[in-house]
Amino acid sequence: MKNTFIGIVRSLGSIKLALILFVVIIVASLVGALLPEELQPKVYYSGWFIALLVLFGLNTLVCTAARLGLGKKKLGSGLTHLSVLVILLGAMVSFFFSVRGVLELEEGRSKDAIVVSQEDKAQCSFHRLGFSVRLDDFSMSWYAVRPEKYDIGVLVKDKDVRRYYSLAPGSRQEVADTGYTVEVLDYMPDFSLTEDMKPAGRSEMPNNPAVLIRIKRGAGVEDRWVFSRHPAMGLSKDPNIKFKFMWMPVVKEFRSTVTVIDASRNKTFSRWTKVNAPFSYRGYTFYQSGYDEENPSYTSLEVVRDPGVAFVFAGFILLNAGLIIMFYPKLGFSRSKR
Amino acid sequence: MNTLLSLGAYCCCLLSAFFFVLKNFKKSRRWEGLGLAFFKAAFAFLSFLVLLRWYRAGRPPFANMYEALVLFAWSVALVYAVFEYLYKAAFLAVPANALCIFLLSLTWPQDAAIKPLMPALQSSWMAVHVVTYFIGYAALALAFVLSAGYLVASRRRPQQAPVLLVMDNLSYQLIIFAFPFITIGMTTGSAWANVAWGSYWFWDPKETCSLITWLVYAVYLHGRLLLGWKQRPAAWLSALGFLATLFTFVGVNYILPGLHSYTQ
Repeated sequence: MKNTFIGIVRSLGSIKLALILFVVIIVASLVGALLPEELQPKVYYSGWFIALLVLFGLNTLVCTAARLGLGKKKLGSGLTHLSVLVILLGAMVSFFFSVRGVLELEEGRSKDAIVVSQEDKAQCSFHRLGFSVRLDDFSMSWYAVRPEKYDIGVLVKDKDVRRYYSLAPGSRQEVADTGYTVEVLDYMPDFSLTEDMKPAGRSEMPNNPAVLIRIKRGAGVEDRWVFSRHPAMGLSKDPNIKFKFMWMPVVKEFRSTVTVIDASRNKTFSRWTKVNAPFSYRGYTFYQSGYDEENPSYTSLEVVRDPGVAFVFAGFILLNAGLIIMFYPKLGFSRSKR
Repeated sequence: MNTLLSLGAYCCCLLSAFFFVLKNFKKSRRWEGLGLAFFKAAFAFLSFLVLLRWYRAGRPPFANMYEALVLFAWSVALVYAVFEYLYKAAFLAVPANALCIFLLSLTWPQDAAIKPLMPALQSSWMAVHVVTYFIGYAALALAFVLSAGYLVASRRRPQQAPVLLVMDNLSYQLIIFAFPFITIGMTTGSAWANVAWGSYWFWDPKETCSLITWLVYAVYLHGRLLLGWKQRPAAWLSALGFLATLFTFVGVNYILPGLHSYTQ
């Protein structure tokens, strides 16, 4: 019995098993990556893949235990293998105990629960936060970049012709089979009208991008402003031809300012979040995740409570330290011999 | 200015290659010295190009394929400089220079305009994540060149020939130099993902492929350190590892869409 146990432990700590597990994990990960996105969780969160990682953890544990020591050589290797265990432990804690959901808010509205999607994303449930979050303001800003070419969709009603053109400023384009010719004359990133109703640009920021298009058919000429965010806006002499100006300015930042109201602790305070700048409260971290182009008062926040993160990051620090201690003294070895 | 610096680096690399070729015909150390000097000048041009672009863009210049290729060429020259210092491995300048010429040639059709960064990329994690990965990739590329050279040369010479042993050992040294760099790259990327998207691991194809690459080199290191895999088996694993690196760096962007699709 004792011999069998020792045999199992020895097998678990063998380098051959480690190499086999490396290869199996590589193949399984590759298969998962090649599958369509919706099928990937069936590999990475499946029982057999988790069992594989647990076996890998056991193999690492026995290997680490067998090579414990504080010598220069053993310290680096020990830290590296210990780090793998800490990372795997963190991943398990995340898998079993993390909560991840979405908080969708409109300005002035508050919510105290997040929507948690089930693994197959077909069903969802609510998770109560124990406090509520109100959206006070959602703001977006864009880079002041002018388009290199203007992407224009054209519809000619009487010929039932739809065309799409990417026009350089000043270049004329014949709309085939319709008799129309179009030309982009001007672009304003922030279109507005003066008091005497003349077009004027307020700034270089793409707050209301618009192009001035010259339309020719026979002897008729019309200059028409077309707006990317308000396609129906603008005066047209010739209703037979319609345009769509497709210009998506590059988003610089989107930011939500919220008030957290925690009645149970008698706390109310304001916070803001943008991409790469989350905020945390009572173990939950709030990440700016989405917006709605059609609804400027809407925001979507990803809300996460993950007690595994601390383990994983501690593991990362150990891993990098272990590898540097293990490998870098070996570099330049031949130089010191010279 | 960017174009001039890029052209300067390219011309220096070409001149360096010319003198290395000349050295083969006329066995003089003078030609080799000139080749090395021009390659170091190319490194200086590339360093200045990266720093100037960083200053002008107001952000780390690693946001598109043009910038990635310039950074890769710079990293190759840097790794050569480190190994030249550590091992006096001047002969490494030949493959490093050839690699730089190849990478800089690829920049010509790319759009060199400085583009603004999307919100997810506006992070101080970006510099450390990208730079460490590229230095690691550069060392792995040079290790691959040596391994491939070993595989070709070892068919004609005995495996114990001194030049082959040097190639095998230097390839190993490059891999142990690179491994901590790609590990820092992977872990800082994971930390960044946690700050930007709220999870340290998504099994996004790029993440998964970077893990696969890391595991292949982990197999190489375990095999070499614990089972004594050297020479041909090590060279084959190094080649396999670099194929995984190449797929992670370029292939996955075009074949497998995911969170890193902006790198296209």
